[in-house]
Amino acid sequence: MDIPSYIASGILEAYVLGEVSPEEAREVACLTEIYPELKAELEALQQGMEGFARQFDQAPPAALKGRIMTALDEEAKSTEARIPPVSSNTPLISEEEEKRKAGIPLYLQIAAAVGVLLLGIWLGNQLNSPELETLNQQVAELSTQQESLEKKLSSQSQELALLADPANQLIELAPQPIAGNATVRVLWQPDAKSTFLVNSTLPDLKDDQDYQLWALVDGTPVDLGVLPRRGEGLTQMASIENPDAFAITLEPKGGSKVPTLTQLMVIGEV
Amino acid sequence: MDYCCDRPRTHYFVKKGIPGTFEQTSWQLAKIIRLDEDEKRLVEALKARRKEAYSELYDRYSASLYGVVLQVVKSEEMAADVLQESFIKVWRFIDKYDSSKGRFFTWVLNLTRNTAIDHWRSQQRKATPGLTAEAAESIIGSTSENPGHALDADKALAFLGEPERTLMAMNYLQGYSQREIAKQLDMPVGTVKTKMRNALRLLRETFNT
Repeated sequence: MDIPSYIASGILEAYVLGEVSPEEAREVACLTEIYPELKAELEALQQGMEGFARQFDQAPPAALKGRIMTALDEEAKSTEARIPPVSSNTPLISEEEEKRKAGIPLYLQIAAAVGVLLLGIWLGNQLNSPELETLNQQVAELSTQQESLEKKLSSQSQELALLADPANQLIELAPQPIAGNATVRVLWQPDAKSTFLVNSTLPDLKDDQDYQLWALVDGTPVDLGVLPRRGEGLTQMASIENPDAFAITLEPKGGSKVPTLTQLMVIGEV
Repeated sequence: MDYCCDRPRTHYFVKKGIPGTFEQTSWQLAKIIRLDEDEKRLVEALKARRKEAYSELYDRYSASLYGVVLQVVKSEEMAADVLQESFIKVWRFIDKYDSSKGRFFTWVLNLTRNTAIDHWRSQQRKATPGLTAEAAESIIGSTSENPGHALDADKALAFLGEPERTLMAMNYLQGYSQREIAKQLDMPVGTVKTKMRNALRLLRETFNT
């Protein structure tokens, strides 16, 4: 390339004066990078223009520097919040520096990332495994058990309070010959008139039979209800005022209006 | 670097052995390299957004930048605003600078100058439309109107005669193109181009010693 002719063409002066098209500007930028003599000439011309500008030198007010540095601080803060600008042709830091800063080579970074991913997948599988399902079921069962135990404890505490209260009467009902070694106790609360069966043990029932509790008041039997098939602890029955005695008879299923005396199982006087 | 042109990357002068020119060029290159190293460090620190680099930039160039801005906007208050805006622009756009665009100081100067011209123009749009030769001359000539900071043109730009001083002022301080200046001053565009080119070559000789 004929450098002197290119310089003599005046394109560099036009470039410095801002009188070139964008295409010409790119050409000048490119050629000056290739040919040091062109760059030297361009910079000499720019230095001439700078010399022109320096004729106007004047110190700014003393306070301006502080003001500008503060403004730059604010700009720095606001740019930190934004995504940093990426220059298309000029990297912020050199590749070497980038490598140095990164420390770990890219392939190792990728390997580490893949490792973490695989570990995550494995853990995910572990968490969805049948063992975990079993564990979950066990936890659910245990919590159900705990709930029922808590209920039981609570009701037993109430039962204990009822049994321990000296105002309440605990009546032992004596088994009749047909009842074998049945044991039945009734707890009666004189103030509340409430009646409870306590841990009754009676011979097994046929499907079409029920046990029924009666109270004898002034010689007359009063129905206090059919016993539940399974009764643990205290079973509350109907209330009664001034009972003389309590009795249980074997009755057809659902109970009877009057007791079948031939099927008297247990009886006890208050 | 972009492969914007497919010229061979050979040292033309060394290959052709053009007498005289290379000797002169290598002397200039050595000078530029010394400047480069110092400036390169500053530019890299500016690109890293290092605070002390901006402080150094201010210490080095603020008087020149402020002086030019003041010539353009002719108000100390506005000049301070323009300089502040220019420093923020340097912060934001420093990554766009690379040495293929020439000297760094020229880049900062042009960024600041253009900011000032934008301010001046938006202010002028409200006041007086258009620029006359008298107005352009007053920018560099009148000491009585702006006693505080006006350019003593005869002394400072004594090496430039007329109309070169006016042409350079209109171009550099007002941002008018050669075509616009030719129209304003009722001169042929070719004459404006030639005179400005001569003025620039004279500046080159004056400030490259």
